[in-house]
Amino acid sequence: MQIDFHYYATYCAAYMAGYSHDESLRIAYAAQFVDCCSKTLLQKLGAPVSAATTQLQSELMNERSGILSQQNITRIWASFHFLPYDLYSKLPHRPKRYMNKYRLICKPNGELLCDTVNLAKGGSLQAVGIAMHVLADTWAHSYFAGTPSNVINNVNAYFYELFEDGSREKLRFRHNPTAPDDVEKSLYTGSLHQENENSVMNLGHGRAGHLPDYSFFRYEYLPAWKNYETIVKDNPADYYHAFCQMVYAMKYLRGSYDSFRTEQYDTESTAPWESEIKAILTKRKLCADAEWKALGEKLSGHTVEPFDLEKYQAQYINASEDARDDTFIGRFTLAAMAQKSMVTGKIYRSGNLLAGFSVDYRRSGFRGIRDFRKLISNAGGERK
Amino acid sequence: MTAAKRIFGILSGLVMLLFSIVMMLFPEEAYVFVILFLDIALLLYGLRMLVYYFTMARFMVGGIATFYKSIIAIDFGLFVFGLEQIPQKFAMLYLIALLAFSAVVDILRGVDAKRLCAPWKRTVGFAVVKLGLAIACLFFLNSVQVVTYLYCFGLIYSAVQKFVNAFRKTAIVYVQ
Repeated sequence: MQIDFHYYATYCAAYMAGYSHDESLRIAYAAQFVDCCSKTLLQKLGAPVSAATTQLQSELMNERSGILSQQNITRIWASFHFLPYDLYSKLPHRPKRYMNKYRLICKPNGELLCDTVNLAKGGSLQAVGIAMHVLADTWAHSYFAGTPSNVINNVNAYFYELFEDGSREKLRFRHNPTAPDDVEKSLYTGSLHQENENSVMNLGHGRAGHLPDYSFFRYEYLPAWKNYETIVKDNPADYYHAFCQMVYAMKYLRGSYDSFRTEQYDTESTAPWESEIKAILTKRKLCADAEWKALGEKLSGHTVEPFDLEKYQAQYINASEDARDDTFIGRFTLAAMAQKSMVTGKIYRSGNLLAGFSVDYRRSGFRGIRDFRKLISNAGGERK
Repeated sequence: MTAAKRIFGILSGLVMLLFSIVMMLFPEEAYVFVILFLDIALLLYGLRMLVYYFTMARFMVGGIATFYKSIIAIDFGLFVFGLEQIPQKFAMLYLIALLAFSAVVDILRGVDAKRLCAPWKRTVGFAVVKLGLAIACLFFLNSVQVVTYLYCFGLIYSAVQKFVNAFRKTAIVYVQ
C-alpha cells in the first residue's frame, strides 16, 4: 500500500471510528511514517536505530548475506509489512528449513494480527497508527513473506491483469528500479530474479513489483510456493476489507468492543460511503491520494494536510534527552520497538530463528540490543 | 546467530587468513593451490545447490532448474579438476571479471544510495579501488604472483567479514 491508503484512508477510517480530526491526523501520520522510518532517518535524528520500521533500497543492498542480516531484514519486514499468518502451519514432507520460510507467509486475520491490535490497546496514538499500517498491509501483501526467500516469494512470467469484462492481459516486468510503472503498456518494475535463496531481491513482493500496492489492480499469477496453483488477487475487494477492518479495530481500541476478533468488519459505519470508497479503490490510477483526501475532508469538514516527513523531526531533535520519548517521534519509536519485540518473540517461540533471538525479560532479565531497554521503563504508555 | 555458528565463523576466518598469508609468502608455489581452491569452490557451489534443491527448491514452481544447474556446476568442477595445467591467463581473467562485476554492482549501489540521501562515498570508494585493481591486473595477465596476491586479498577480505559477523550482536529483548 502507498501513501493514499496508509495516510489518507487511515485518516478516514480513524475519523469513522470516532477519533477527532487531530487524533485521526496523528494516527494517519504514524501509519504512513512506518514506510519512512528507516535506519538512515533515525541516525539523522539521533533516535534508536532498532526502531527502524522500513529499509531503503540502499540499506537493503548494503546488507551482508549472512544470517544476522537476514534476521535484521526479517524483524523489520515481518513485523511491519508482512505479518505472518500462521507460525505453526503444517505441510507434509517438508524440511524445517523450508517450513521456517513458509510459516512467515503473510495473510489477513492471523493470530498475530490480534496480538498487534491488542498491543496498541491503551497505548499511544502512534501505536494505533502502527497497528493500522500492519493490519492494512496484511491485505495488500497477502501470499508473500517478509523475509528474503526464493522458494516463497519468487514469481514467474505467468502474470495477467484481470478486467471486469472477463478479459485479461499479460503483464511484463522490467528491472530498472528508477523506471515508473506504465499502466497503459502493462509494463511494471519488479526485482531481478536471483536464485540465491536469501538475496534481498527475493524479499516480500519485490518480484511482483508494486502490483500488490495498487488498489485498483486485479491479477492472476503463479506463486513459487503454491504447488502450481494460481492465485487471483482482487485488490479492490481486499482493500475495502482492510478499510472496514481498520474501522472495527480502531473502534475496539477506543473501547467500543470488549475484544478484538478476526474476520470482523465494520461495514455498518462504512455503508453510507461504500460506493464512494469503492469508486476510489477501482479508479485506474497509481496513487489515489487526491480522492482519499477529498473524502477525508468531506467526512470531517477539516482540511487534511499533506504528509510532511519533516513535520515532527525538529521537535524530536530539539527535545532534551529525557523529554525525547514524549515527542511524537519518541512515542513512535517506542511503539515500533514494542511491535518488533512482540513479533520477534512470537516467531522465536515458534522455534523459528529467522527473526533472531528473543529474551523474556521477566525470566532472564535484560540482554541484547541496548535500544530495547527503553521498553522496560516505558512499558505501557499513555494516549497522547 | 548461534554460538556454534559464531565459533565456526571465527575458525573458518582464521584458516582463510592463515592460508592467504602462507600463499603470499610463496606466490610461485601457491598458484596451483589458488586454482585448486577456485575449483573446490565451484564444486562446493554445485553441491550446495544440490542440497538446496532437495531441501527447498524441489517444492517451488520451476525448482527443477536448480537441480540441472547444480549438476552442470559439479560437472564443470570435476572437469577442471581433471585438467593437468591451467594457464595463469585464464585464472587472471576470471578474477578480473569477478572484480569488475563487483565494482559495477558497488557503483550502482552508490548511485542509488546518493539518490536516497544515504551514505554512499564508502561504497563508491570500494568500487573505484576494485575497478582500479581490475584494470591494473590487465597488465599482468601472465603473472603468477599477481594472481596469487589478488586471490589472497579476496580471501583476507572474506576472513575479516567473517570475524565482523561473528562478533555482531543478535539478541533482542522481549517484554511481556
